[in-house]
Amino acid sequence: MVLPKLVGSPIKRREDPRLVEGTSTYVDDIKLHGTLYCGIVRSVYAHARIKSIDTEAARQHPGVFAVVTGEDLKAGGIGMLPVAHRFGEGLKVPPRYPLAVGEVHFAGEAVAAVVATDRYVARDAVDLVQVEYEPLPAVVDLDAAYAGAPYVHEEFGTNIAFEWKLFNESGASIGEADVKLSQRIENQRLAPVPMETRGVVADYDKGKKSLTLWTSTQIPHLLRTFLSLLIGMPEHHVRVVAPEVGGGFGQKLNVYAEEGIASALSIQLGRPIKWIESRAESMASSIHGRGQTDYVDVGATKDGKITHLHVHILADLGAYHQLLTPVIPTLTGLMLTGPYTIPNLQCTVHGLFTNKVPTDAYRGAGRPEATYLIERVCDLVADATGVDPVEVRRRNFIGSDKFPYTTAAGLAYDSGNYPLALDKALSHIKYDEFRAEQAAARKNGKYLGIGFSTYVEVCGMGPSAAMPAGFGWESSTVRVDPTGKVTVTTGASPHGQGQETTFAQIAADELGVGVDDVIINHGDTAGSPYGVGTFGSRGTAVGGAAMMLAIQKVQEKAKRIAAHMLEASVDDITFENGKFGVKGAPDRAKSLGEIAWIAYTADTIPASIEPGLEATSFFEPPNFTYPFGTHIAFVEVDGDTGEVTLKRYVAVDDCGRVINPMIVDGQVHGGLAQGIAQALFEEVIYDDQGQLVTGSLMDYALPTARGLVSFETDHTTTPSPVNPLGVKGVGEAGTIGSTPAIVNAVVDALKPFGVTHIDMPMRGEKLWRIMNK
Amino acid sequence: MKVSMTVNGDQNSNDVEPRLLLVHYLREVLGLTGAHIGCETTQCGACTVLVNGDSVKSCTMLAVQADGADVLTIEGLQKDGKMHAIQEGFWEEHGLQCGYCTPGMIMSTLQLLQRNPHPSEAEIREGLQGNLCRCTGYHNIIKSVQHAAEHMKEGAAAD
Amino acid sequence: MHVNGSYTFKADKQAVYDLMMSKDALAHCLPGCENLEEIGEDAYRATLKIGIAGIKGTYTCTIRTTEKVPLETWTLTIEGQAKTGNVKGVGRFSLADADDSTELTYDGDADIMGPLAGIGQRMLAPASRTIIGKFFECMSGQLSGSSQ
Repeated sequence: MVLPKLVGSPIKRREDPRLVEGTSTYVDDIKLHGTLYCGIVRSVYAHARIKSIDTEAARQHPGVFAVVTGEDLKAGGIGMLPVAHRFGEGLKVPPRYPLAVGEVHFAGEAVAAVVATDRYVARDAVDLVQVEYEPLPAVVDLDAAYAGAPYVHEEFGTNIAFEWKLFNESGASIGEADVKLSQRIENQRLAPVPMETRGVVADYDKGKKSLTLWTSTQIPHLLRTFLSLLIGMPEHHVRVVAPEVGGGFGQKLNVYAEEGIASALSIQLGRPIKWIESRAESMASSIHGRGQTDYVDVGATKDGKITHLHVHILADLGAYHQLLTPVIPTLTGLMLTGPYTIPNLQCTVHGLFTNKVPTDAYRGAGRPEATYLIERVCDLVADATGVDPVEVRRRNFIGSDKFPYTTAAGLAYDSGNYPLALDKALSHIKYDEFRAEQAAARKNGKYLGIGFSTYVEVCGMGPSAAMPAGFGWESSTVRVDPTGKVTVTTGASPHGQGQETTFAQIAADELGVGVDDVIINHGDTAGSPYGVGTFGSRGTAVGGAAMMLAIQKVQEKAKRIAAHMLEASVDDITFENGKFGVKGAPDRAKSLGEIAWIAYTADTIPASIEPGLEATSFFEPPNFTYPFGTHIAFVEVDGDTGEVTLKRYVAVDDCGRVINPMIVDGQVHGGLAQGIAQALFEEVIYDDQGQLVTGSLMDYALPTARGLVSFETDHTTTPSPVNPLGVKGVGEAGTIGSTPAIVNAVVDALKPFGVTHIDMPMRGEKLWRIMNK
Repeated sequence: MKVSMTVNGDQNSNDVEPRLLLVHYLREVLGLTGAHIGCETTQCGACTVLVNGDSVKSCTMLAVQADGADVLTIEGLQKDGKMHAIQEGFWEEHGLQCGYCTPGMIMSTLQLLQRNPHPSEAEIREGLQGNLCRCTGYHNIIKSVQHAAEHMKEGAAAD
Repeated sequence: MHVNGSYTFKADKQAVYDLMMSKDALAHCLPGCENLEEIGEDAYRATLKIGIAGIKGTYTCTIRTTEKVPLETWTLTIEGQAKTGNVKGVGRFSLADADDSTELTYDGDADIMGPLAGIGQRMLAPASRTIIGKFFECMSGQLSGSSQ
């Protein structure tokens, strides 16, 4: 019997029954006996000195157990929130306590915490804490922040947190280029908005002097390490559990104030403490993404070959560094050349403090900004030279025979075939016919547009040596239980990606068992090897690869035990169709279960073989992976209102080998929606006082079912050579590829009005003004 | 204040604060944690339940307003341990990823299909625009609803 | 947020100026004013109940009149604190003769801080216009009441 291969099949997700039945356990569903509720008092000012905090009325309120301020926590030995960086001495790092001490630097910053019997009383008590502020000038605009005073952190005498440079030039200068153009490009601030806000339950066990923290996080293991440092508790006494996590998109790839506050309060009061973030708190205090103003100078030949790219990035860091804040804009710098052979590259990044929520990793994290920039540049070059935008891309592509390819930014692209993806995408549309239709429609006052985006992204993060603070590897333990069932533990704790399914597909294939004979555990630091987490499209490329290595070790041991059972030489043992047998004698073959039983009963195995059948592996990727693809968007702009209608969307993505095509397409769909929404309407807005205007989902526009279309997805498959699975990662591809495709389509639609660039988002009013100038 | 209602066929009665939201009554008092809270401002629909047959965002309704009502939550959809056709549809068509919006999305789908058993794609998009999902881009949610519509017997939706 | 506009009173400058400086008239016409106590020269403390964007707040305010040029111009500063957020408004007022009436023009900035800024800001401008309009109408009523 030949077992059907599970890898490559669109099998249904194994995590879904509990989710569609409403029986899964997210943080707020955890109810421990004696739980108290925490509420946070937040700054109403973007920048102010705290003159006094009067907690008396709150303390006196019935049902209130404690009220603490930043000074209280500091006195209790609670430290500062961490930033992971390798900028050395050059990075300015302002102190950031879980509750503000002395000054507040953004509206929404935590100032005090209350603990009460239930969440309603906690809310009442929050209102009773009186904070007296002395307002200070707020820094909101990026260009102004770069220009000079006022400063977010007066002690630095500048708003520039760091300067980061790339320089790779040889030969002719940009001044000698045939075609020169300059463009200021904004990449607006966004809010990640996972549908589940953050939340924690902290439970201190006095007897064991140990703390368990359930938290909605992407990185339980890293959080355990940083939390132990933050609250000063030995790491082995801290257990972190990520239960069901309702989306992350990078926002939960961090160490947050409330994780420290709830832990400290649980230790102080000896009771479980629950804090659940409201959406308003999420918008005003959990990390935002993007937020760049990019000044771009381009040199090109008359036939559309880009020769020079000079970019000055002003990156809006917000008021403090969160875990990866300063790293994100440098990823933009590294990916600026995209899939193109641009020989001369200069990039300067200035990371700027502003009195706003810190920015950090949001789906794509620095790469969407790069792709948006270079894909806009391709269209600008097309405009300036008269070469078709598709042809501009083709002429600049890195040839498919050039891999591994080292870019001007110094990255080594692993594998790729960019023209193949472009051709496949073009095969889905009738480009010439569309241009004819577009021309005819314009005569009737109808504005149709087509936009292209041929992206490459850096994924599978990553080699530890290339990561901002190391931790680029991933771990896995594969245990075959005595009855032959397989228990896998992965450090790559997921939050919607379906690892319980895809990892089981791989393990089942490799161990010759059914997918239902495999369970994938994750998210609990107790009883599992140290791990890293799911982000940067690394779950399968790094975490899956770690599991693969552990499986190989288990296979080797199973072969040794089988050799003993079959009285054969290990070299003669084969593993076929799920059974371990001797070459030429398939009827004597042993199943994994039979071998496992012998491995654990252990009374018949030789002393040279340790009992048990499990293995742990750590996979350190030798390089990043570089997924790529071509996206094509069709839009119509309403001539009367400026409203954009998405008509059609074609996405051809290459994420290497595909484990589960259904899940891969799902990842692409979700990414597309987020990228399209950035192009069309999403935007975090602060007023000139640093007050958040888009503080709820009434004011921050998320995409709904009505504004989107059914996407047309397709794939090419170029395996990655950097991991044993050949996978590249797909979590961020949709977001990265789609934003420029949409903007390019809208600009294309409005060509008759003489525009070559429009800053996002493409709201109707903005486009109406362009059409009615 | 005393509040009594039928939830998923079971009668219950409790003393609650007048300000207690229906979603907290379901989640905290009755322990039915399937309805989730995603925004508190009636935008996201993660807390959608049916009250007397009408879909309601339970984060902006007080428990006392549901006094005497017949409430159906995601936990009440299964019959004899078997998934409802809509739950099957979401599973079959990969209509969820993180799963947080899913209970509300399914309850809104139930209302949609009760009112329109064979909706077009545009009607599904219109009918679900009060429920936000950040993971799927709605693509597979549309397919899930279509799958459910095909597999729900005529009239079964009203169950 | 920038606010400006004008209001015409059927009275002479002196009457309008006196009205605008009258503690009793202010106490009567400031929106939702529950009490108004004098805390110094041209300075008051007041409790105002105001609903902005559907969110009612009780604001503890200080109100100061400065840069007075009698019968011509003055500056009014209102700073308020509430659970739903802090507000600050600074307005420059001036009076001009117009036929048998007096035109009052105002020009200033109103800022709102805290949770309300994140929820209600897009409703703030129309809400402010409504509140200001009601205030002047009320003041105008005080004028006709006192002249009778």
